[in-house]
Amino acid sequence: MKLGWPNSWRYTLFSVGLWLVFLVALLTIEFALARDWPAHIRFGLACVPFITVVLQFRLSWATLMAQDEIVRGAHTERFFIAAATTLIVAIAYSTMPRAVGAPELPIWIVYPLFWGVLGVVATLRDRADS
Amino acid sequence: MKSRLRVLRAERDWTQEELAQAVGVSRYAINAIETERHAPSLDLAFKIASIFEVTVEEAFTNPYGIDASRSEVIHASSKPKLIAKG
Repeated sequence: MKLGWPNSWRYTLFSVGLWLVFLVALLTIEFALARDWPAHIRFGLACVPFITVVLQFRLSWATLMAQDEIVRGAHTERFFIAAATTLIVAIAYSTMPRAVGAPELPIWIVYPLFWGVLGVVATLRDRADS
Repeated sequence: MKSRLRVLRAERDWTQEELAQAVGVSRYAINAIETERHAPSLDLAFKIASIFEVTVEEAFTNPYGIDASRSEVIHASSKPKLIAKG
C-alpha cells in the first residue's frame, strides 16, 4: 500500500509558496549582483533562502507530528535515508573541485537535492511495500 | 508482530478504513500492522484490542511466548536482602 505524503492543503499551499520565495530569492541575488545593489540589501536577500528552508522543515515537522505513529515512523525512516544519501553525495562531491577540477556548485543545491532524493526513496519504498 | 486483525475484522465485517477510523489512525497503519511491516505501540495495541473487545494477546501474538524459567531467574535475583541495623 502506498504511503504518500499526508493530504493537507495547508502543507501544499505553504510549500509551493516557500519554494517560489526560495527560487525568486536566488534569482534576485543574481540580479542584485549584476546591478550592484547595496550590500545590506544583498545581505537581506541572501538570508531569504535559509529562512524558507527553516519554515519548510518546521511545516514538515508539524505535518508529520499530526500523523499516527506508523505513518510518522515510515516517513521518518525515509527522511533519514534521504538525509544520509544527500550528505554522502554532497561530501563526496565537495572534494572534487579541488582534487580533480570538477565544477564548483553552490551549497544551496543540497536543499533541492535532498527533496529530490526523498522523492526517489519514497517511490522505491512504496514499490517495495506494494 | 503477528496479529489476528484480519480475522477479527472479517468476523465483524469491517473494512480496514472502518477500523482505522474507529482507532483514530490511517488505513496505511492498519494495513502495515496486518501485513506485519510495522509493530504497533503498546498504546495502539490496547486501543485496537478495546475496539474489538478482546485482550491484547487475543489480538496480537506474543512473539516471546511465556517463559517461566526466565521469570524464576528474575524473581530469584530480586529477592529483598536483609540489612542488619545498629
